[in-house]
Amino acid sequence: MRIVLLLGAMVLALSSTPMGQSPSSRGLPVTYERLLKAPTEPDNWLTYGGDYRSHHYSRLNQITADNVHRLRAKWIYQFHRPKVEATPIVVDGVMYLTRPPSDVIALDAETGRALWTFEYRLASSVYICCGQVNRGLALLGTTLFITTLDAKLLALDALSGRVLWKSDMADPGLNYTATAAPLIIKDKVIAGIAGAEGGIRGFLDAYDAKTGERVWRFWTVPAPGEAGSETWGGDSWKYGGASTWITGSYDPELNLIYWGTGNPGPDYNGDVRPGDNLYSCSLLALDADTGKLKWYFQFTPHDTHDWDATQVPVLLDSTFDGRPRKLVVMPSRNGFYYILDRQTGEFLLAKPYVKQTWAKEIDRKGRPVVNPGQEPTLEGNDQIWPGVDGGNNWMSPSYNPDTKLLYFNAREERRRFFKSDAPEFRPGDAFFGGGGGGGARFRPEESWGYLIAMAPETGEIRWQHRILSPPWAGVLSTAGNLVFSATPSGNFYALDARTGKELWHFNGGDRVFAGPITFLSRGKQLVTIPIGDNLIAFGLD
Amino acid sequence: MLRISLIAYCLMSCALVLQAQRPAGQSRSNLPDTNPYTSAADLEAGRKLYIGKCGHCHGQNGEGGRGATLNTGQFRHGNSDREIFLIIRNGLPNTEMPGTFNAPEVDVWRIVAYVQQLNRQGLKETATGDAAAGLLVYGKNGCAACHRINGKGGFLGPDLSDIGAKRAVRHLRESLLEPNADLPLDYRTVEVITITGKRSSGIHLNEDEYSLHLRDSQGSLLSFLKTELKEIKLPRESLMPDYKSLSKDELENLVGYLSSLRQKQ
Repeated sequence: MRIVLLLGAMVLALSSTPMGQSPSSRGLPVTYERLLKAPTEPDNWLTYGGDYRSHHYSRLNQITADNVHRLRAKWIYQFHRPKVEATPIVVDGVMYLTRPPSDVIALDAETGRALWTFEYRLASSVYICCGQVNRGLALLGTTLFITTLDAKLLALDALSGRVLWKSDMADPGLNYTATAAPLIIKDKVIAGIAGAEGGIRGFLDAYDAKTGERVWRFWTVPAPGEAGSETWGGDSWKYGGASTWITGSYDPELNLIYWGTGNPGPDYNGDVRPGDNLYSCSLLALDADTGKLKWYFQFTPHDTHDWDATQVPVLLDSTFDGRPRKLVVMPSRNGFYYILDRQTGEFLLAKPYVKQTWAKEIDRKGRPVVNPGQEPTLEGNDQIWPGVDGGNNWMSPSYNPDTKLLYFNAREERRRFFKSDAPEFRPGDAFFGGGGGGGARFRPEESWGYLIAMAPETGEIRWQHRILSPPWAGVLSTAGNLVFSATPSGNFYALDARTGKELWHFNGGDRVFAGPITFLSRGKQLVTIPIGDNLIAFGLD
Repeated sequence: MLRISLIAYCLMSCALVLQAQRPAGQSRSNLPDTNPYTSAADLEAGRKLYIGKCGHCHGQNGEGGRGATLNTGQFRHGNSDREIFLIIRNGLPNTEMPGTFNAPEVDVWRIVAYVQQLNRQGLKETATGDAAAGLLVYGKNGCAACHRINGKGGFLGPDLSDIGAKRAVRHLRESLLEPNADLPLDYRTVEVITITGKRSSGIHLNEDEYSLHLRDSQGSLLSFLKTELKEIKLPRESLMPDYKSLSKDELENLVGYLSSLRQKQ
């Protein structure tokens, strides 16, 4: 572990002058009360999802549908790392972001120059399925929190990058890893785990933000005797997966955390884990103080296609069937868009938003009626839609209260699903039981994507913007009547939020695995997005 | 979550995975030379795995295709179980051969067992045609207008300088008679029509949401903004005509000539 302190960091630490010099920007400390009201600070970007409802929306309106054609690149920060999936946090002109594997950087958001860089050295070798990625930070007071690839939770001083404490989440030697941005709730740090492709038993944790002491843990795979354990055969629960690798949402009135869980393990061979395999591929509602389960909803019982439910749950207060409801909505990786009552977990609606072949229907209780011939096989089954990466995945959607539309990226593709012998758990080894590849067999034009604008209360698609190949980027919408997202070919683009008309684009030249955010720097609105291993900031000329 | 990173896999797993699946202390460097999974059940499992994962390119019986022949008694990149294991596991750089990064080690060994069984057939098909006569067929039919051999010829089709080392005799013959049977993605064709009605066609080089690039029959690189185009056609057919009109001797001689092209000069 090495901390690189640049001159800028010392200046920052010694000076009380806000970096952003914006009269409206509020700097550190960022209290829980401010996090509760994050939408009222559009000059900053305070949490992974933009606010506790994960709306990924900004009230900023300097950049509008009328002037977005004047958007120009202002600066570039080079990560020099592959596969950047991080969403930054911005406070008063200082951007905090992560880069693979588990480094943290503070940037001057006006210039893109680094103020300090914290380089994390992994304490041990780790089995990871899918790249050395990290998706971001949480901030409380003057402390940043990051989960690391070797399954630690770190607290860093936001002024210097100095480590304040480090807690072990789990043993990386048993294939536990962590990639998700934590979530602050009151005085706790909520942190998810990853590693379901390595045979872990998943959980969601809460830690004391001051000390790093673990306050509660909810095991996402119940042990024998616990409720739900009857959905696992034999000892399969020990390696049952159900990781928690994407940041959830929070309703302060109900004091409930909403957090999605990943696939059961082994991914593609379900023979050794007969049953529904709770709480894999589910949305959990947990009491924020105790971690007790309030309700759960399982999207894909006994999944054998790696269709994690680790999409971002979006919280809406709206009407359903003419009645005011507290809703949580999610375009699931399994190809269906779901609406649930977030107070009770009641299933309200499911509607396919991409081609899907695996379910005849979703019944009145929300359980899929599965079609025959849709299982992975030894030779490979390529007659299953959606593909292994799903109709949607971990990338952030956006809800815009002005248009009352939900925006998210959808993936239209199929892949070849293989089933192999069920593996035995071994530290350091994969625990797939098959695979979901075979993309080379399909012509590129057989796969494509959409940015979908949906009426969230009905699942009706209002418009969709076609993309050449299935996207991995998140979505941002703003009060400027704009929707921002990016394509796998590296094009960052802006659409009219009401009509879907394309208004602007920029070729960033590499794939995009992250989402855009927006904030003020010296009083002027900037939009940033990681493209390839560059973070690019855009502003009006 | 299933998006595999080669770098991540190699850095983190190459040592660990193999350590974990064999007695403690072993590493990739002491991967056994001899396949530990060769029972009849392993071979049958290997056959099914091969059909699912390998047969698409290497042929269902190892007869070759887009991928190398595997039933001739000789491999190009190594003959030992261990060498074949590593090729299947890691793929081959600068070729179309991918790795099988998430396959359990036992499955890779089972594929090795089946591939070795295919190889023991020793069914190498040798071209029977006269290569010198085939060169004349090549010239007479204008193949060089599109194909390049050792720096001479056109750009529209694949470079054939070492095609004999890459493709089985069967595949060469099939490509002449049925050019659409297996069209490499690098040589897909595209036709565009501009809003002024001008048509261009050639090899599809690059495309994103806003632009498209192709190489035409003259070897020229053409760039189009999609706002300039009213139609884009991606025909499934190859630009190469079929050569069913060749006599049997001409065909076999041409196959013989192509099969003799083994090394770029």
